[in-house]
Amino acid sequence: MNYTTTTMTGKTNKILSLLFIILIGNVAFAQNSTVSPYSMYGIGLLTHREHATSAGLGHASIALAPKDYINIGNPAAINNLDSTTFYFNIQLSGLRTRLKADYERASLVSGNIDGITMGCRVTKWWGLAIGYAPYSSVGYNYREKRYIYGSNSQYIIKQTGSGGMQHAFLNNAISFFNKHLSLGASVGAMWGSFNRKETALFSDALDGENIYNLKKYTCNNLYLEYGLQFHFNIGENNFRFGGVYNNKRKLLSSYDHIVSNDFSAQLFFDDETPFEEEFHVPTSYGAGFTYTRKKFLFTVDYKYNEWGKIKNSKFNEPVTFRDNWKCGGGIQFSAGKDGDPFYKRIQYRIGYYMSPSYMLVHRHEINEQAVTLGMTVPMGRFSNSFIIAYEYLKRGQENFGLIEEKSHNIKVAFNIREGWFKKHKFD
Amino acid sequence: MNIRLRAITVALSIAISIAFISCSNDSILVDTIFANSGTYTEYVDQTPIELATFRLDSVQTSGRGTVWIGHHKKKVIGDVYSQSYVRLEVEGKATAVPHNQTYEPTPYLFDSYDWAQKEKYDSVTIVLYHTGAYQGDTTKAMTINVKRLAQPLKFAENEKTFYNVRTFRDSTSIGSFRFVPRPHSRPRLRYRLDDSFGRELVSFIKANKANKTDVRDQNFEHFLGGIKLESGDDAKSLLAFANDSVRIMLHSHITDVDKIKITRKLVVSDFTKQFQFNSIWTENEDSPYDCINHRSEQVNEKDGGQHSVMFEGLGYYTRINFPTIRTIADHSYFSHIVRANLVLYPERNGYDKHNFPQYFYVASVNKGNVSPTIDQGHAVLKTVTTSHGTPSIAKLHNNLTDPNDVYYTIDITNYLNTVIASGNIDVNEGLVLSWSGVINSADYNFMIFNGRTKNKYYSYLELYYYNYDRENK
Repeated sequence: MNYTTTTMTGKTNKILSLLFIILIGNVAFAQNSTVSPYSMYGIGLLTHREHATSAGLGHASIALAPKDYINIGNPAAINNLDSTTFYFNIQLSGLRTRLKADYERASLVSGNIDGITMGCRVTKWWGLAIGYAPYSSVGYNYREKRYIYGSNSQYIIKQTGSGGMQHAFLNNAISFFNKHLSLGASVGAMWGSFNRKETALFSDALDGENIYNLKKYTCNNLYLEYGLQFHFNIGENNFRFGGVYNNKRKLLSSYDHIVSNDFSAQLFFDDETPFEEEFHVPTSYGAGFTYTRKKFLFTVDYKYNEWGKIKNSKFNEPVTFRDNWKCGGGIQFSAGKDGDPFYKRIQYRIGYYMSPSYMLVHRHEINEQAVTLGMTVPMGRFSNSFIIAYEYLKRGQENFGLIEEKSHNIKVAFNIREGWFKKHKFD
Repeated sequence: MNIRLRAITVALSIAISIAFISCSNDSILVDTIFANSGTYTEYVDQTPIELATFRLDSVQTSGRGTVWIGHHKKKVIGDVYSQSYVRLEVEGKATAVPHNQTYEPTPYLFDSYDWAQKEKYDSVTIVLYHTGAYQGDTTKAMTINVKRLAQPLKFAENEKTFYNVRTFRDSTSIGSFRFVPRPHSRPRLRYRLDDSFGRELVSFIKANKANKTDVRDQNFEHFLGGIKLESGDDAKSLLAFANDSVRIMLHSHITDVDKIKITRKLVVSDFTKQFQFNSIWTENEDSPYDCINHRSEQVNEKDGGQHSVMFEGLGYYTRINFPTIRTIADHSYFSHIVRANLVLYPERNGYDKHNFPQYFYVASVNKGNVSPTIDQGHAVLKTVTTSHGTPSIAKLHNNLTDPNDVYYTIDITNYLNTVIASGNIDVNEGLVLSWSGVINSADYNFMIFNGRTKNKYYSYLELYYYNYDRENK
């Protein structure tokens, strides 16, 4: 008798229960996904919305069409999934960042949920996935010396921020020409809120009142993204090309503004005030290429963002936007093949990523570059897997009164695959 | 659990630790403008203020513990005179001491009204003790006249205290003496009064020998309603005496087997202490402040020689006006005052004592120089407080390298913010300075402040505004 089953094993149950507890715990004690002072501008630092596998490949994902996990980097990338399997993925991220400015040093730690995705092949030519991922993150905590205009005295401003934009999406992909061409679209909603709090510490400088200036921004809108992938084989060599596009979109925004001091609940209050021309998502387009031969994979991405067409309406901020690009890629290899012991089936990745920043602070670039490593460890009999990616990132610079960041970022993901759509066969 | 799951569990634990348990609040200090968020703090030191001098029509000088007698010529103010009124009563027991046992306790104590048959009158004297405080030239001799009040020294109806403007004119002299003050080396003064008064006092004692105590006290009150102590025309200084040290001593003796000296005392008791008060006035037609007759009248600094005066004994107070309070309020629409300091420069030679006082208080007053809180018609003013609820106190700052650079700062942040927040802006409201928490104390303090119109070492208001930004709507 040839026998397969759709029943979850006890081990899988335990893991899912653990993940559920983590999720609940995270909601209760939510932290920020970044500690970067540069996240105080705009809607914060844009996150890499990707699977942890891509995080180990220099954040390349446009031309990847995996069979064993859902790639959200390209809406067209889900047509290569197994038609009998339901896919579930949850990711967590953590980071330790060291900040340097002038002669100051600080070390900060944070972490958060990095995404939840599930999906399947609905038909032979139609793939579908839904999920959630942070789109941007605001999280900073630093102090700043400022001069009092008209005097030589200085006082300390404490800048803190938290929150970010979230993105929920529904990806659909349709394949043509015997799966050689795949077109995809992502329909999603983007929403979020973030706080910017400026605390002027006058108690030390002037023996005066501390002032708390809190702004809470709320933004939302629909978000559409389009993608395609095309591939062909030459012998055992597979070549895949991909592209993605999304257009500029203004976020509907409002804010609450509360100014208070040590002795008064509020000196100024402005509630749910809408404002125009504040936050946008830029037009972006990118292309990727992947070469695969047996267990070896090479992939590279290039993405261009038209930030230059977005004006920073916060005229008093020292930030201007400009077009920027991101380029990253990596290689993946594995010693074994299906049926080998698990340690032979472990996949290893290494990658590199760089990007000139889309914002200039005081006309200076805040570039970032990173070296990435990754690994996929198979789990159990049902092709579940545990993915871990490490990134060493450098952002910004110490000169010109700016801040240099060096981060150790870790992403962990759990891929759970269940053969919900497999049928029992009896010979 | 197989080795794979163990490895995964360990990795998961590490990831959870990083992501959820570890958390650092360490923050970095940036030395330059990084955020430039549109908020800023500015310092404004040119906010105009105006000093003025007003005078309370009467100042409480009773119950202050000090008898001020004499005359002194003060800078700006002119001639200042003070005379003092004291009420006495008969001490219960007379002291009888054998003349050869001066320091031994005596068994011969008897009621002060028990005038013995063989007792002979000797003399009557007055005793005063210097507190050490004085104004003017104490090397010059001065005369003190002691006068007897015919009418009892009592509170007027519906009046708690005597004021500095009150006088009792129907008085007769019972003695005078001339002396060189030397307040530090010779604190005790004892001088003989007229014998006619002494003999009159003996007659009163004899007449009341058989009366009950309350009748005696009532009769004494009409016999001697009080005494007035005033200086003669030769006085060049003002002297302070402890009010409970004033006493009149009646000396007599009995000649029997031995000669026994007897002393009866008219003293300031705890009860009569409250009736003592000083009458202080000034005479100087050239003084700009001489024309102030009512508390609602004031002399601005431009008419007062770019000065204001603070002299509690005479009821002169320095008032601070804010002629641009509306501008300050308008400026605060998008900002908040995080610190407001009044900087007041006293004139270096405008204070009599060696060192400037370390602190004084500030209170709020309206156009008529009346406080928002009036205590039963008396000039009890509302002291300005800090944001913490404690009284705003002027603090003295010394510049060791420049003796003229001595000034006071007063935190009036809470006062200005409260006025602005109320929306009830009145340019006629102002502040008044006081040496003590109670505005109408009448210690003999005197100080001159430099006005805003002086070229150097002028008083001013410094403001620190926190300007907060607003989004573009």
